[in-house]
Amino acid sequence: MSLALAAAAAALTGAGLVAFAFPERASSPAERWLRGAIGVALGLGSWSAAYAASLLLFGPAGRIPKDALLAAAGAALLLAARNRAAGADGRREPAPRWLWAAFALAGAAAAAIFVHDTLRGPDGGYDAFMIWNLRARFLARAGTGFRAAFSPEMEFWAHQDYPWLVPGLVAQGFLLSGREPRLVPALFAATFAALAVAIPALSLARARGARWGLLGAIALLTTPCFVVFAVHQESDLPLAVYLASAAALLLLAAERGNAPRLLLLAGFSAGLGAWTKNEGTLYAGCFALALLVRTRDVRALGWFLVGCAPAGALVAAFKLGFAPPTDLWQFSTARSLFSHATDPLRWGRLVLLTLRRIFFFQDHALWVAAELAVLLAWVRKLPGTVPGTALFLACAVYAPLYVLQPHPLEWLYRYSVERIFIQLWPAAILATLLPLARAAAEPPPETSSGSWPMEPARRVP
Amino acid sequence: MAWFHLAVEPRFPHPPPIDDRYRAARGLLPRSGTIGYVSDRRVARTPAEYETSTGTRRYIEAQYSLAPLILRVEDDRAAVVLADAAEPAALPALLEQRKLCAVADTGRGVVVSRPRAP
Repeated sequence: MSLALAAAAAALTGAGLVAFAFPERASSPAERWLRGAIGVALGLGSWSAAYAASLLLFGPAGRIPKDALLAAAGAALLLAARNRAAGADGRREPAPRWLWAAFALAGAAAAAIFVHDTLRGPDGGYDAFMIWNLRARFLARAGTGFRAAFSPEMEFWAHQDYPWLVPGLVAQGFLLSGREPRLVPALFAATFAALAVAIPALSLARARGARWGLLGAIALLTTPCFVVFAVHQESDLPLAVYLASAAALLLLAAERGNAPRLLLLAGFSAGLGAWTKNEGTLYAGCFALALLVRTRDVRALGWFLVGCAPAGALVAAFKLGFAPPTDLWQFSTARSLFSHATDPLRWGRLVLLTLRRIFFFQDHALWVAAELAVLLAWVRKLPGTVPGTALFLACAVYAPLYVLQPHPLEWLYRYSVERIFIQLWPAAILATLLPLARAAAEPPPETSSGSWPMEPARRVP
Repeated sequence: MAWFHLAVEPRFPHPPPIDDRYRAARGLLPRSGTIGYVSDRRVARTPAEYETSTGTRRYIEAQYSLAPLILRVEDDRAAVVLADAAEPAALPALLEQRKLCAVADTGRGVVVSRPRAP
């Protein structure tokens, strides 16, 4: 019974949010699947964020009433959207068979690796048992003593200050199953990996046809570290999902003259990213700034920020009321910040480390080099987009963050740069291929606009 | 990629499930609260110490397995102390050095202990 209620809560919330945001019915199979994928991501995120809010406010007793409330709210949103008009006919351009075959091969290989490696290492990667599944165990096992999960008495390796969207999902899975099957975190990891592929690929397929969607999916599936992050059950791919979802929704909003409801949903997705990992707050800020810079539309920014607000409030409440300070602050002093900022060797080492990693075949298979080549050769000549600008901003912010942070540079870089890459990669594929596909179909306009419209913009009431 | 994961990796032994090592100890320890944790290997307290602290992973695995019990590293004066040695043969020396007496030896280098009376 409680399992059915929990499933209904996540499914109805996701479906309701998507139905609320899109004023017309889906116009093509790709759009239908895209909305479905975004709905699954937002439904799972809402379910976990609501669990966190209910736990912090009311303790463990709030879990089941929270599910009932979410299911009712999602059903109400669905009912309110039941008489939507049909959308304009979407693109249905087929892709060649060889491309479908390549996609099937890449998908099958990724799935086989995921199953094989998960069976070999059911505890997941280092960060899974050090942070994410550790937190899930605390939440599921401790009952009313759940605050122990954030205790500063543990060593900082537990990263007690990290947001807990993924642990919230896994903990609820444990509580619903009545034990702690290793299948639970593995299933969530597989779901988020599938969503990380589906959201950019379906966005591309919807806007530019199946050929471009498949290219996007193949680019992601064949990135060597992609499936490794899925196997490791860490929070980087879930964050990538919310980032890609926010990017897709911002592009859809731009297509409809910055439709407020889509901007709200984009903000909501970015907010869930902030509740997934600390970096998510940075990305939400970059999206907000990029939206303002590219559109000069303060109202659009306002809708986006209102969308960010629910998860943003949760992050703020957790950080201010429960979490110990993050290690970047804990180990930093004014002196260390100054000496790092003014150390030319440290900046130089960062440049060298980055250049080396661009060609690090084991993790990227030259996809980063290819991405940079495409950006330099084609995309830089095209009008900027909100997601593209946001991703550039995020990359730019990481340079001073790496230099100023208190830990040994090589150590932190080695253990974090692939994470940052995989967080940004699905959204980067979308932000790169979409204007490229458009440019391949027709010559680019001469003047720069606020965003790159997929179709002529029309305002939606 | 597939060749590396599916053909090369299986040649190397995969780690045993983490909980196997601490299952017996978990049954003897309090379900929650705080206990001490000592090891024959150093546990890194800062990232700068990580590369030279070979006991860090074992502490992380113990914390994962025994949650929501909190393990306080280097606290050998707590009422209950988990002695966790990479080498079981190093346990007597570890207990002696920390002035601990064994309450239960759960095997694999894991001993539930308490401080000796002064």
